[in-house]
Amino acid sequence: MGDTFTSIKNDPLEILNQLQNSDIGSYDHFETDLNSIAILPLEVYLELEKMRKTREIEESKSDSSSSNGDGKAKDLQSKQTEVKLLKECEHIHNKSLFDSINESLLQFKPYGKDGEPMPWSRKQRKLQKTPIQKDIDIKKMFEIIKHDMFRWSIMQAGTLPRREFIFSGVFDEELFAEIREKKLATLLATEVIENEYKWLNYDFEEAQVRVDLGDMILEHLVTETISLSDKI
Amino acid sequence: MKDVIGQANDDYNLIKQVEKNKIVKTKESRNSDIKQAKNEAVDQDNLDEERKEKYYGVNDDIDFHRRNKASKSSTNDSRNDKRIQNLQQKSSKTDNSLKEDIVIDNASDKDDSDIDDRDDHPQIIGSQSLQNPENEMDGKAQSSFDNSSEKDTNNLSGSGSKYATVSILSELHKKNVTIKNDELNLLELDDDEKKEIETTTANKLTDLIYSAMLAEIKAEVFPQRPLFLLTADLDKIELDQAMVYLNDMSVEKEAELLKEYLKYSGEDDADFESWDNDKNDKDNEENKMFSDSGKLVLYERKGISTDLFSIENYVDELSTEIDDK
Repeated sequence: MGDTFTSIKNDPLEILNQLQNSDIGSYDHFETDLNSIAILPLEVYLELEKMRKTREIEESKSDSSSSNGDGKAKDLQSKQTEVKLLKECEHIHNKSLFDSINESLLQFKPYGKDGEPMPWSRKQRKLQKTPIQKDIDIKKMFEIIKHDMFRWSIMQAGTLPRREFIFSGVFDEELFAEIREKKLATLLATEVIENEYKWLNYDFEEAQVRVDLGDMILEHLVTETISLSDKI
Repeated sequence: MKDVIGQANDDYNLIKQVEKNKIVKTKESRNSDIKQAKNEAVDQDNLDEERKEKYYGVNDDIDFHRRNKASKSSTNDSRNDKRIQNLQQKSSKTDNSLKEDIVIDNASDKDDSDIDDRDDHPQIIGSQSLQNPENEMDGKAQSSFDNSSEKDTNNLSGSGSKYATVSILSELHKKNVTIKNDELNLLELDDDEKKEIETTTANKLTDLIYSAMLAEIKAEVFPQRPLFLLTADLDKIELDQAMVYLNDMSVEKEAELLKEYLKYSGEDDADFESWDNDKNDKDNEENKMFSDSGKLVLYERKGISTDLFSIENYVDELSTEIDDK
């Protein structure tokens, strides 16, 4: 968790290279590799899963010892494969939750997902880069994360067919299509609102224009010098 | 000095000319790229439309429903009333005929692995109706087929077949419920006999679910979630109850379903032979055996809790773990 309160630092040379090579108006710099900036390492997830597994084994042992029946023991054995597959599914679900938590945690970093401003940027810098230790409230942080997770979960983009769509034995295609469309529209609208700041942040474009202008001025100066020396 | 400068000037002009040519070339290539992208987008749109029609068959239905919303609802209601009346008539049979009806084909029910026995199964009426939708369709599906006569032959894997399966399932379940609630009491049977009948009907329902699911997968309705029937199509069956029936499904049938599902979703390279042979074998084999979509099928079927409570629990667990550290 120590990484939570340190800002993401991007390599300025890499960014400069990107500035030179990418076209004006491209949005490649919007994409961030979340895996490389994850706060909670994968080990935490694995540890948690291991703990859950041992707890479940203990519970199943206590259940089997309390039942004492041969028939029940056989039943348990026959369901072993099924349970294993079920666990696999749970692991996948838990991994998605873990990744979502990691993404949500990024909001507590000093400069968020964007990282520290580049040396040439005119963005305001923070003097207090790390929070005061006593002000950190892990519980409050996780409450916010929980809220984020709920918000993402209830989005239900790509609604799947459910029994709620059946009226007197008939699947209502119209309603289903309508709800799907609405959910998708909500998702897009939310994304536009949430990512609006990215579209209004012209830091990258400003730097790109500056670099291009610099190149143009240099070219102009060289041409002028050559023409002057030609006259001499 | 002049020569040198003149040489430099010539070189510079040459470089400038080359750069200009480059720019012109890049402009040309960009234009061609744009044209290509546009063509691709048009192709993609066409593909999407085809896919929609194939998988959902939604578009025609929606347009049709929008046009005929008012008239459709009234015809639907009257047809549903008729169906309910028919069911009530069926359920008021004599004691003997009922008993015969309930304990149908007891021997074949016990043999779970024999899928071919389903030829006599009521659900097969459903799959027959997939081939002849006009015979078994309810109001909505019937009308949609009437209006899409051109697609009649191709649309069998579309929306029509789904309605047929749904209606048959719900009818059979209603029948089952009526038998359970009313008729069993009238029969004045012993407890053992009652239990036997209940288990037989439960087995039949499990088989029914299996057959319906298979039919749905084969009809390619909702290929992204062939287990649509589990939570949606079983009209008037509680989700918990459906889960109980599904958990009673034999391993062979489950494997068969997965096989079919993967076949139709284009992932038929999974090795299913080992499924029957060594059920209790290592994790590695299982991982090879099921692709991600196969796991998803089980995931949906077994009903792993993915609700807000489970999310809350996970976050709480993680926070306590971090707190402890």
